[in-house]
Amino acid sequence: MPVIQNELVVAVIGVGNKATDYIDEDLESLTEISNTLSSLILQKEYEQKLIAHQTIIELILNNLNSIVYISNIQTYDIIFINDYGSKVLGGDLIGQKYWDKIFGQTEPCEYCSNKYFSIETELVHNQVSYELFNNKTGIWYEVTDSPIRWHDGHIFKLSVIRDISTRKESEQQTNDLVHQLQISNNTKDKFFSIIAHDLRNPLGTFMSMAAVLYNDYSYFEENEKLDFLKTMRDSSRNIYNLLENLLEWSSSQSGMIKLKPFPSNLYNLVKTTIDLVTNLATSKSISITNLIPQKLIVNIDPNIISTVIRNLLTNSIKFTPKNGKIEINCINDNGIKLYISDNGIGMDEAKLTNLFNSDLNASSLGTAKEVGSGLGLLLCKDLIEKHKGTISVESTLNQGTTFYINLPWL
Amino acid sequence: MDKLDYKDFLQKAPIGYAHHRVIFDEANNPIDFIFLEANQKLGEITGLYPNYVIGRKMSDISKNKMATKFDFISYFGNISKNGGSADFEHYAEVSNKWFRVYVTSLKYGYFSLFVSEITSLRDAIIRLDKKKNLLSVFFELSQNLSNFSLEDIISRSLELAEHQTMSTISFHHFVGDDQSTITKQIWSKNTIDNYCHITQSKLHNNVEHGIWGKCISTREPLIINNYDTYRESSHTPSGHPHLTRFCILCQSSKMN
Repeated sequence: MPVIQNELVVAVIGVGNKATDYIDEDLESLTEISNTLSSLILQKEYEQKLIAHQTIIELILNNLNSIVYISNIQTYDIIFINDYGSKVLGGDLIGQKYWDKIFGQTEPCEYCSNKYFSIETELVHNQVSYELFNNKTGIWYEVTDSPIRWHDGHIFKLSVIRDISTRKESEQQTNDLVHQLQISNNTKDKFFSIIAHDLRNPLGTFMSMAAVLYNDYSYFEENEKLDFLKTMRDSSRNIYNLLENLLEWSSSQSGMIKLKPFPSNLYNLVKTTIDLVTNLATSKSISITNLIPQKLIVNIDPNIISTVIRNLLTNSIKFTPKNGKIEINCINDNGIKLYISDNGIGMDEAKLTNLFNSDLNASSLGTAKEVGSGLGLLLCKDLIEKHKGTISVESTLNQGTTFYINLPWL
Repeated sequence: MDKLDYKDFLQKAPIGYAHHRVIFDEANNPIDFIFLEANQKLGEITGLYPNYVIGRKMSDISKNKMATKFDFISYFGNISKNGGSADFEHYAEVSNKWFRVYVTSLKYGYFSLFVSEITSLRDAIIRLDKKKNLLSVFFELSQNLSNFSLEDIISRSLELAEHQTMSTISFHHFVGDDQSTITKQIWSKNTIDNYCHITQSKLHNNVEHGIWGKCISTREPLIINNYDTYRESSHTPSGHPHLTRFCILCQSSKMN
């Protein structure tokens, strides 16, 4: 039976072959050596466990894809940094100021969390986290600072800095996607609004007129029939213009329109486009003057620019009273700056501000009660942006409006 | 103090005292000496009581009481010839005692001895030296623990144990939690170099087969000084050091 119940024998130690008999004194010596040896073995085992533990911690710290450092919250000195941190930031950073070497600042940062941690004993905050863009590395980081009690009893700061560039990019992509979805949703709403209202009305008018003329043809005088046909012609023209813009806009929105620039004579392009709206202008006795230099060749996509000019001319005709004037000209301004000006009714500040906003842009009746969809200007903006250009407008109420198209050299 | 007082003082002194006359041969070489005086204390510490030695020759006495290899007659005789004094420590094998001896000669052919027993003092000094050596080794080990492997620490401790107990072999065996398996065996360098020729494959791995089995089962230290008798109940493999006697004990730890 074991004499000591609650103890385990961990080892036996022995000596042998003394020349004379072993006596109690020898046992005392052996006991003394054994006790001290047991203590040393324990210490050695603790040391080995400590080393193993330390090795694991170092392995973890040095294999993290994060900068991990410990700093003195009074002096801002770095007293430890992991291998990843040294590799990313370079050089021997121990003893260096972290606001300089890690954050690339010339003094302690405004957002420094040291103020949250007590210098001596009490921990005011357990942890402080924030995101920042590091000017030194050009990378977005998420920083988590924690107060830790150092072996001398003082409070130091453990900081873990994680590269969140990928997450930030992903967030930006998500935001962009949300924005595109919003635009797409607005586009869809606009599309349905046009179909529901702007297309339905003129088509309804056309159908009604055609039905009345067909059913009661013999009851109308010749001049009345002519009026009916004129109204039907105007309605069908509106429907046609609207459908054409809808198709163009739909193509633009779905990315089907590709920029295909080539050297084009701008004067001829404008002239051809003016011809498309001459009848409309003539009906209101509005003159359109092409002031583009006749031999000016520019590298543009003629289809896109023609559609834009046609819409802007139609817009000017719509809001210019009878006998008005429209001029088209251009100047060299880091590209070609094309402008279309009229002496029409102009716009107030509120109308001007929301002119290219698809949410708030609503069509107004023209000077001859012409109807529109408000789609034309949105289409112009889309197409010019596809052409890497910009469109802007200046207008004075009752004096006239000028649209500017800035196209860079391609 | 007059002459009688000195005599009385020497008789009652707390150290052994004796006065002798040396006998020379024709060539004036010392060949013996006769005890002329001796005090009681000399008898108490050496067995040479006054009533036994006074008037007797050293050669007669040494046959019975002072069997020793040391040539007292020549050593003391020469001092009595040349004068002067000397002191030395002497181990008397017959009595297993250590003495400090002071010899002086004030007259040609005569010498006096003053003897004190220092056995306990010598033992204390030896123990102190051993302790000093032990502390020195363990201080070095504990101060440089990181520089020593576990095997080094145990090996150094075993060498120390051998030295402290005047042994020629030593061992340290770790016992597993099952209390029956030997998990790691370490022998002193001296044991391996000179005594143990056992191969690793033939080492005991079970406590029942070793001399330490009883020690582990009882948790009691064990001293065996008659191993030939004990051998019957123990089985040592071929190449195991030949044992005459041994002393072993357990190292224990509190159970979790």
